[in-house]
Amino acid sequence: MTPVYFSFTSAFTLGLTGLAFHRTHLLSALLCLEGMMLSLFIALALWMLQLESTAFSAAPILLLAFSACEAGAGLALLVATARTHGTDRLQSLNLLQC
Amino acid sequence: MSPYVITILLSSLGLGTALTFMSSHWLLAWMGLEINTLAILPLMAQHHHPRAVEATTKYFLAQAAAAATILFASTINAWTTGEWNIYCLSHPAATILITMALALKVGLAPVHFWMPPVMQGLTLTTGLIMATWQKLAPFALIIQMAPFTHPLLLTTLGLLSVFIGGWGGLNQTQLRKILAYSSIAHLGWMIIVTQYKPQLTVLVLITYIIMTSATFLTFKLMATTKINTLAMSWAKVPTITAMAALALLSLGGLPPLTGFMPKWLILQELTMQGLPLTATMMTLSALLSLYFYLRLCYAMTLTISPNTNNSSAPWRLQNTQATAPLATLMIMTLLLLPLTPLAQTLTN
Amino acid sequence: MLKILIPTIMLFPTIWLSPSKWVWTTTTLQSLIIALVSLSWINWSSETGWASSNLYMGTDPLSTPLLVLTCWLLPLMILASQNHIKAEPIARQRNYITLLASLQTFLIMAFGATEIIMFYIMFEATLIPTLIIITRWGNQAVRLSAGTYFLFYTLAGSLPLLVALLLLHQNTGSLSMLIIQYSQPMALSSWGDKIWWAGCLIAFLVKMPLYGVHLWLPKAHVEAPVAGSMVLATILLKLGGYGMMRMMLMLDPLSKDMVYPVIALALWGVLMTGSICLRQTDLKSLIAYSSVSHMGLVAGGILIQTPWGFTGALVLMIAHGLVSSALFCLANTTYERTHSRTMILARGMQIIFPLTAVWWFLSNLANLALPPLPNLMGELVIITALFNWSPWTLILTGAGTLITAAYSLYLFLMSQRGPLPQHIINLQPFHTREHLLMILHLLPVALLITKPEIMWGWWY
Repeated sequence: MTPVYFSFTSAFTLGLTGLAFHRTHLLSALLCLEGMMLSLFIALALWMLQLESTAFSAAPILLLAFSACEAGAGLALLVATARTHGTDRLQSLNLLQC
Repeated sequence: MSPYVITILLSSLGLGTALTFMSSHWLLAWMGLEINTLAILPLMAQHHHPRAVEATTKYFLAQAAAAATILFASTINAWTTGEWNIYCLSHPAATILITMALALKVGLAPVHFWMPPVMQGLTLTTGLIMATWQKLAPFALIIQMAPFTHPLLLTTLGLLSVFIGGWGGLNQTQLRKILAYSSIAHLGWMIIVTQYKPQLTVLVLITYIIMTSATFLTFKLMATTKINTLAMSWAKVPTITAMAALALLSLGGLPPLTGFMPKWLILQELTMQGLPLTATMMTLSALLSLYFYLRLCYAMTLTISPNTNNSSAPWRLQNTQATAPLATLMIMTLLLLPLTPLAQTLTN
Repeated sequence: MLKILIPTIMLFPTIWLSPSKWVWTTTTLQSLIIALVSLSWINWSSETGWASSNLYMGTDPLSTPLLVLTCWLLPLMILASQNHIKAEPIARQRNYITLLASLQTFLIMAFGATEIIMFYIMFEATLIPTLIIITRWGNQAVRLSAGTYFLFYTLAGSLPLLVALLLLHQNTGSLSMLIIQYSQPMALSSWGDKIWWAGCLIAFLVKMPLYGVHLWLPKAHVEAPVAGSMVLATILLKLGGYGMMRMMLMLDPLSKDMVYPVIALALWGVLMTGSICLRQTDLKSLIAYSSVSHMGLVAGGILIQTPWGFTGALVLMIAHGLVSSALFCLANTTYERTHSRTMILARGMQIIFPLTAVWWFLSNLANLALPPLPNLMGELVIITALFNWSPWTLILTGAGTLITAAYSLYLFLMSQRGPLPQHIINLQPFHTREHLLMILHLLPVALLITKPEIMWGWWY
């Protein structure tokens, strides 16, 4: 396992673990998502550089664009929850519990 | 919402799914899934109701995490094998990760927890899209993935889904949650046979979409979201109420209705693969689901007036919903079983 | 086959298109004509054992009596339910007759099927109309739990049957009844095979019902409207017996050792349910338990797998079908007048309805197997076959016969004799329709004994 491989894998895993287990605030969940996407960006970019496949060079940018859209949607939802629930704590999103 | 915006959103919803269908590259497949998710979010949250926003948030978090995991797993695969093609998935950890992420996307059992709350927060139309259209893209990927996955994983997912889908619905009084659990149970039936005969998965998906669309459209016509108000539906639309009881039993899989066909073919395939025990467990789990469908039938059709009703009469507004799709779907929901030989020919 | 099936399907347009005044008349007439035409099945000319118009539908001596019984029952059901459905809106009346007619369609296809999976699907398909009849037109709130019991007992037994049948299909390559009896007997030895054996039979034993899994039957009978009770007692229970006779042919080498507990349970059930009858206060419940008791005898006769056992089982099924249906009709006539099923509230009916008391007397005698009637023939043949199989069974079957006589007398005495209660006033007189109904039930029973070959099954 190369150091690069290890670093982006652990970055992604950290982000996923954070999303799964530490989600008091919606903002922190969104940050974790963003961290996951950025680690993926690094992974894709390094993969492209390592294999020198120029055909793939647009991929990291596309990924970044999509993750920006996703982050935008997430922030919009943050605003929406803040307006409807008055807080961004995920614990308070409990209207629909079984 | 303005019709232009709706058009754009619906067409990008279709675009995302179509992109996933057509892609052979993981990155493109991922993009399709993302477009799909991003397009449905505004549709879900269009009424600024706390429940809708909450449902959207939960859906967004689950879908975004699943999509990121799919891309992560395919990146791992690409780092070790240098291959982005969907059909060239050889890294074992990557396969498991992707299967679980796709399971999270459609709402299969151990990772199904987002599904009932999200359905509960939506309107019936969006719920219909959620229960039908949103399953297509992930299932296209699951079917392509299935040959590389460990059979035990898929079987476990399937059995857990049918049991949890049946068990969870027993305790519900909200129609949308019941339909969400019924969706989980049907997904279990789909996933159990993916590895042995993917055509059957498609068949189950199609019949499920037909049956559940008929049910959703019926509930929409009756404007009910609770078992309690179902009891008044007889006064509104008597014929559809009578049919809807049969449609629910069809969802439960009773012969001679359509719902029996996929179950029958799946059981046949499972026994042919030498898995009679799994087959028996699947059939018995169908009883669990049948119980809550039966309860819906009781509330809707079988205890109608002149018995006492414990819900107040709702407003009766002029109905503007087009009924032709409902009629077609209802007929298909009830009467497709004689076409089983055709289905068998097509899936062989 | 189609000459019966198509007219039966054409009942649906008759029901929905005939003017509301004539609905009951036309449907009764048409179904009666179907029943009369179906008698032509009895005229047996085939030498191969099967008379089939195509590969999928056929009759043989085993299914013919049951098919004719099915066709015979529909006009009787329509006649019997006229009175209590008449009060409802016309659309619901049509709905009700539609359900009865669809039940007959499914039943004809079930008994006529030559492919076991087809039989299975039709066997299951009868569940939905029956469920709707019970839970929609039943009388009390308990009918919902009765419907649930009915559905879930049957399905819990019959879903494993589907898997078992698919396994059998995989082994033999065919499930056609025409050829499967000539296939090689399978080598069955492992535990899995034993479970498979049980899976093949449990569905039918539940439907039959065997003592121990019979709880759904009294509930369903008590709550169902009269047509539901009639069809349950007459045909649906016999579906179980019929299915068992078909399946036993294939289960051969294993059955010899596996049937002991089931026979023991069936014969023990004859005694137990008979004793339960002796202390019933509810009229319909008593008749329902008496059905369980008789079907226990039928199950015993089938499970020992001798020709006599099968013959006796088939004869008893036909005779019991007609007689218990007659008893349910009588119970319903009392119910429609006194609005109570409790026997103690409707005693001494002989004084006010003498002719009806005759019907009660005759059906009770038939139920306790009085000599010239086919009930006796069936019971006697089964008891003889069982005695031949093991002499000790005579203790159980003999005691069972005694108890049957006892509760039949109890039923007659409680409902017809004794003082007339004070509150019984202003009962409407019996209709000619009801007398006709009883004649149509009891006449076939009396006539069958003059030519019992037609319900002897394969051996005559």
